[in-house]
This record gives sequence, structure tokens and C-alpha cells, in this order.
Amino acid sequence: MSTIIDRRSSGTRSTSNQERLQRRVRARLKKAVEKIARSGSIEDLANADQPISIPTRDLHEPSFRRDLSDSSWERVLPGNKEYQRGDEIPKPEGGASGQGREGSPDGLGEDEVAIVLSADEFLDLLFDGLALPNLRKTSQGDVQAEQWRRAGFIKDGSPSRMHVGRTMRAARARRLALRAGKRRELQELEEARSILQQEISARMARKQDISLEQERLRDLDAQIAILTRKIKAIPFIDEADLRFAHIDQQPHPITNAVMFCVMDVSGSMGEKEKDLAKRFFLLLYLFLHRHYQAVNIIFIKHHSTATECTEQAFFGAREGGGTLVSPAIQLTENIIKQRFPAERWNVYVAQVSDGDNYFADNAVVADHLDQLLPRLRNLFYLEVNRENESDLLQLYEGIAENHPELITARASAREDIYPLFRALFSREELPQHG
Amino acid sequence: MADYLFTDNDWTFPRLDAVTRAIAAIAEEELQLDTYPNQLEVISAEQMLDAYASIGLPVYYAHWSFGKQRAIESGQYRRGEMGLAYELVINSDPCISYLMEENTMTMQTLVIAHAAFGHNAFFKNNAFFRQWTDAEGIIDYLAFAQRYIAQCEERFGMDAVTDVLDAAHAISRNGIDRARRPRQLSAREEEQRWQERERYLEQQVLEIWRTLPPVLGQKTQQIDVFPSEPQENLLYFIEKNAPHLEGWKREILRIVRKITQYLYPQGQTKIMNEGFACFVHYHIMHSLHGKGLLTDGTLLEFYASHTAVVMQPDFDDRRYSGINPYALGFAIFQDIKRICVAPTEEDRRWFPFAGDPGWLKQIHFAMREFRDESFVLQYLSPKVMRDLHLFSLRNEADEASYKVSAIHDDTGYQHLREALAQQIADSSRPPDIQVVSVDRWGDRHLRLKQMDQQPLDLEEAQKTLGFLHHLWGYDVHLDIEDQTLTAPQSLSAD
Repeated sequence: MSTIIDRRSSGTRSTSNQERLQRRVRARLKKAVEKIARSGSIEDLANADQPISIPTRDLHEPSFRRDLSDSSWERVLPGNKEYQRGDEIPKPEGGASGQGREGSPDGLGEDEVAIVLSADEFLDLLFDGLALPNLRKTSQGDVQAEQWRRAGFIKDGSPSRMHVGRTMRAARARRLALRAGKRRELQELEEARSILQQEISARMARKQDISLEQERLRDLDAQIAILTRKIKAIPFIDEADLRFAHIDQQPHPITNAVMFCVMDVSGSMGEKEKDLAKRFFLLLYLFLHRHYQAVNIIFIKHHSTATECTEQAFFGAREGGGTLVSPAIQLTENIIKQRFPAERWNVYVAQVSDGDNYFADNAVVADHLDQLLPRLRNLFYLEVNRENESDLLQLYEGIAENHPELITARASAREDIYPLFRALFSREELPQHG
Repeated sequence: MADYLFTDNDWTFPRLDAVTRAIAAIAEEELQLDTYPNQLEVISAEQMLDAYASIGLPVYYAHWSFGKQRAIESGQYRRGEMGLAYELVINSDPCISYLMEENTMTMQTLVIAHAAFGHNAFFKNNAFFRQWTDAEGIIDYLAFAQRYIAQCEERFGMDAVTDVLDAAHAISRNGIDRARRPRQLSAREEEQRWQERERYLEQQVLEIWRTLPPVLGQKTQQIDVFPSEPQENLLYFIEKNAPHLEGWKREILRIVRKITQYLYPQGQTKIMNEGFACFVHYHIMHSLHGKGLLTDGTLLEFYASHTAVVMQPDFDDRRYSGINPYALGFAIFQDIKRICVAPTEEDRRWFPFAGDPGWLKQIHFAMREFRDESFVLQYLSPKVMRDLHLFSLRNEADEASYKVSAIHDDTGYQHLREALAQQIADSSRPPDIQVVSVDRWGDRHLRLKQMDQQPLDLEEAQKTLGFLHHLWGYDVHLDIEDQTLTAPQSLSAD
């Protein structure tokens, strides 16, 4: 008796083990991920799919075992060519200790395990423990909306929601399952019948009595008839096969938040400055996307004028010209007024610049910030690649004394960006907003 | 003459079915194999890697070490350093064999003969398997174990469960009953038993910690040694006697112990099991060809894979990685047949059954009644030793060179045979470490002792003791010849 089963479609079942493995080496994975975030190229960050190597000694499983390195042993080997009893073979250089390892029962020797992280796992590790500061979930604007969501299939529902594909699949499975055994039986009976018939004709040719055989034939025919009827009686579709698409109302908390990414793309921003700025924004972008599905992101680039642009235009920006910061602040202000009223939105601004501002503009900026800041949860200002603090940064720091929601930072090298990012968004380290 | 079962090399389900029937007929009539019903499952390479990670078991609880195993193996596989086995077979009733979808039809035929009939018959008939495993209950039990451990993770947290499993795995090799047969396991009973125990957990009294005053008038004070005899099964001892272990942890230890025990015969019969399966497929493939069911081309393809499987690289070959159990087992089984059918003068001197016309009876006897160690000791013939050019090498720690202690000649055969059997025994046996005493009235420390003379890897032992300490809850000491190791106080040492 043999059964053959096609198991190929049932997929792999290693995920739970994989999950536990990653949990186990989380600290090390995190370090590796952070290293990529610090010094890898921007492409590495955006499509993280490379395997991360973990030394197996981190995953060692000890047990009582023999020490084979330094003892006497006798071993039987195949393939003798010239040895005679009593021959002596000098031990290899490096002493006896090198020899023992090969006999170790667990086949050590591979010293690294490669773990491939999916993009999501990568980002989870990268942004572990980070959150948007001061996010208010229950302010007036937040609605606890009900949303219809698909929720699998059920056996019972309104006719209009019947899922034909699933139903037919269930019906087919049932028909196959119920038929298979009977078909096999039927086949056997029919084979028996044809053998019997041959025998009958043989006996008839020999003119022997065939009454017994004919009785058996009738018997078989009756059995075949019953089986055929049974097979026919299996319904094409049965009530048990019906499947209905299920939808369910689920509460859906809305945390209205919008992040303004304001980047200086003026001529003074060289390749290096832009790289730093883009790194910061990319991290921000990935972070928001991964953790806050409902966060709006507005991209604004500015030199002497400011424009709202798409994500592609923002990250691909190559422009030049003089620098004015105030237009960007103004544009932000306008967009907030028009689209994101502060009482209904958590508004954040992240601004990156090299701080080169036309000196007369600083006063204008200060004015606008006074207007703008009370409406923001936070404004992150990051100054890149400066020997000394710019006038703009000093201005911002002055304002920050009265407005704790303004947070400033400076970065001069690639490696600074990620730690800085962590510092800005880690849950504890920020001053709590009143 | 019948028609060929297949002429081109793509496998299809009807072909698999036809081939299985043809093989079953030969297995039954010509080899008189008694097998469990077969369940053949076609799987993909990814699934094969999964199966590898869980020692071939179709259902297994989740643990990071299996994930690690898979990561290592899939890495090797992807780099092309490792080929996957063509098949995997599970000692269960029905006997489950995995067939890889990449196999050609010839390979599938070979695999079915090898696994679904060779291994299958071995599982069902070998005394060792009959005595130690319960093929019928295993799949249900594994499913129970998986469920139970998943529940524990939910109730007590993944980290707590992982700690227990880590510790249990560390001593699992010392968690096997070697002397007596364990009770049969039935999943339903197990589950019932566990539930009952949950209920009575609160009332649990541990015999060894009993502090009720002795009944008056009864003579008390005999010398207080617990356990009364040294215990070799560390897992069992801890499970039953650890002072403060929660019920669910004991159950997890039990699960690991049961599964280790189930797997125990496989490690003890590797040479025989593979050898017998090769012997069976070799006979069946030839018989199929002889009956005109296989083409010459198929037979040639079969030879190519067969010789690759039973090839024994020489010790100085780069491919050498120890004695190939397929090669040795196959050679010995083939040789048993030869000794019956065409014995030489030498064979008659060595083997009382030489010239026995019933070679099949001898094969069956060999397959049923032995395990690797005794099998080699009984059946390794001078001819096989000559064919494999076996020789033995002796190493003394303080000498500058190895010494050839025996070669395949008249003076060496006996020694070689014994040395090889000893080597097989040693490699399949962990260091003999036993529980000798528990300080019941003092600080409750547990004392272990190494009972054999083989040097122990001290660093490993120290770490393993850490796990034991974790389970036991009090100090754990291990006496080795001239020193005593003490368990580190916390697991973080590693």
C-alpha cells in the first residue's frame, strides 16, 4: 500500500525558527545594520537585502563532549597503499592538536552563519526604539474611524458575498476526496470483471460449465452498478462547499501627522553636503514609511526660492543659486495654513542646510519662525559640514531658548548622521513638549 | 516481457505509482521485505532544507538552533558546496519518504527502492528500532510537542522557553536510556497525563525533599545517599528531581528526552541502515532491469549515482571525511550474500554460515539482530577489509609519530575489526557522565561524576554545567579524574 502526495505547494515552514534565530542574535544584527546605516552607500540603505554574517561562536551549543586534541586514540582508515604493520608516520607540523578537530562529532568548521534580512526586518532593526516625539494621538483632530477591512473567508454569509473561486475550490477538493477511494475500488472491480469474462469465454470454448462464473459476474456487475451510482451521487456542489468573503469593521486610529522635509539645494551645498542631507532625509523617509503609514510627507527644496516637489525630484535634486531660507519657511507656513491646520495635525518640520543664508534674510526668518513654531510639534534643524556655527544656527539656537520645540544639530561626516538621527527620534532623550 | 516502465526521464505521478507497484512486488516476492505502508511525498529543495534543519522530522517545535542549522546549510547549498540528499525517510507508520522534485525518473525509482522499501523494512524489523521507538505514535507526539511548546511560549514568554530548550539540548545527549526500553508513547495519553498533572501541580510533593518527620518507632537513619545508584540519564533525573522546576519546564525536558530517545537508534545503526537500503535498491534495480521494466540507459544512470553514493575515498584523498557508512554497509551486506552463494576457503574459516543456500535468511538475520558496533564485529570480513584497504593508526599523545597498528593481512584482520567496532561505538556515545549524589539536607548541590576515562573538553563541560545549574537551581559539581568542575552561577558566562 503506497500513497503519493504532492507536498510542493505547502511551502516552507522555517519562518518560526528563523524568527527565533534573529531574536537570538538581535544585538549583533543591530550592530551590523547600524554599520550599514553609518557608512554604507545610500543604495545599500534603500535596498537592504545583503546577508549579514554572524559568527557561529555566538550561536554555540555546548554539550559534554570528548577532547580529541590531546589524547591517545586508534583509528581505522581506508585506502592503505604502502603501509605495513609497525610503520611509523611522523605527525604533521604544528603538533598533535591540529589533528583532533576532524573527528569532532558535530562537524564544526563553518565559522559564520549568513542571515538574510528582509527589507522590513532590516528597517525594524534600524529604527528599533525610535518614535516621532510629541505625537498626540487623542487631540481633537484624531478620529477613531471605523474602516471596512477584508477578513478572510467564512462558511456562512449573505449570497451577494459568496466567493465563487473559493467555493469551487472547496467543492473540487471534496469531490476528489470522496471519489478517489471509490474510483480505485471501481477500477479493481472492472479489472476483476474483465479477467472473469476472459475466463468465461475460455471455459465456453472448452464447453465447461459456467454457471458459477456467471453468478460471480452478476455479483460483480451489481457491485459495479452500486459504486457507479455512488460516484454519480456525489454532488457537484454542496452546501458545505460554500465560502463567503468576510469583511469586518475595524477601528482605525488616525494619527494625523505631516512631516515637512526642507532641503537647501543652493550652490553652496556641495556634493558632500547634499549627500549628508539626503542621508538624513532618506532615514527620515524610511522611518516614517515603516512606522507611520498615515504620515504625510511634504518635500520642499529651496535656494533663493522655494518649491514643493515630488519625492523623486527631492532626492534627485541638483540645483544651484543663492540662498534664502525665509521663502522655504513661508512656503511651509502657507501649506500648513491651507492643508494642515495645526489643531488637527501633528506638524513636524525637518530642515537641512549648510547655514549659508543671505544675512539680511535672518531677521525675516526669525519673524516667521515666531509665527510658525507654536503650531509645530517639532522643528529639527540640521546643519551640515561647517567648521563653525553659522549665523543661522546661532539665530535658531537663540530662538530655541524660548521655543523648546526647535531642536538643532550639526553633522560634518557620514558617520554622524545615523547616531544623530537616533538621538533626535529616540523616545527618551528628547525634552518633553509641554 | 512487460513494457518499459518509462523511457524518457521526466517523472509523473502515474509513473511514480506504477514504479512503486513494480518495486513493491519485487520487494515482497524476491526479498520478502516486511514494510510499513508507504507515504511518498514530493517536495522542493527549499522544503528539503527545512527537513534537514529539523533532523528530517516532518513536525518539530521551533527553536533558534534549527534556524541556525538551516542558515548554514542553505548557505552551503547556494554556494554549491553541498548537494542535497535525493531523499529523506522518517521512521513512522505509515513510513514517510520525501522525494525531491528535481530528481529524474531514474532517481525517483532508485529513491523509492532505497528509502520506501530498504529503510522502511529496516525501521520495521531491526531489533533496535523495534525496542526503542514507536513508529506509530511519533508523528502525533511531535505534533503534541510542537503545540505544547508553542503554548508555553505564549504563556511564559519566548525567552523563558528558549532557556529551557537550550539547557535541555545541551544535556540531551546524556538523556538517553541505554539499558531499558522506554514506555510506548501515545500522544493522547501524553496530553491527558499532562493536563492531569497541571491540575495536581500544587499538591506536588517531591520525594527527595520530603521533610515530614519520620514515623515514630520506625528505625530511621540509614546512610542517606540519593540517588541510591548513579543515574546515567541526566535529563530524566533533572526532570523528576529538580527541586524548584515548574511543571511546564519538566514537560519540555520530557519532550526533548522523548524525541532524543526516538532518534537514538538512528545514530546506532547508520552503517547498517544505509548499507541495507543500498543492498535493497541494488537488488531491486537489477531485478527491474532483468524483467525488462527498465531500459539500459536507466540502468547506466543508476550505476552512476549508485557508485557515487557507495564510493569510499581513500584517507589521503581530499574528499575523505571518515568512513562512508553507505560504502561500508553496502560492502558488508553484499559480502554476506557472496559468502552464502560463493564462499571461499577463508570464508568458511571465518563464518559458520558460509555456503548457506538461504542467503536471504542470513541477510534478514543480520538486518534484524544487530547494530553498527556488533554488526561490524560480526560480519566485517577479510575480503571487505582487503577491498577497502583498511589499516589502523595508533596515536600516543607524547610520541612524535603515528604507528600503523594493523593492516589488511592475516595478522591484522581481527585487530582491524575490533578497532573499527570500538571506533564506531565511541563516536556514537557521549562521555559517560552520571549523577552520583544530591546533598539533600545541606545546600542541595548536585554532584556528577565522569565514569569513563576519555578526556573531556573542559571548556564545553563548564558551559554545559551552567545549563544544568540553570535547571537544577543549586550548585552543580562534576568530578573528573583529578579535578572538580563547578557550574558558573549565571548563564551569561557564554
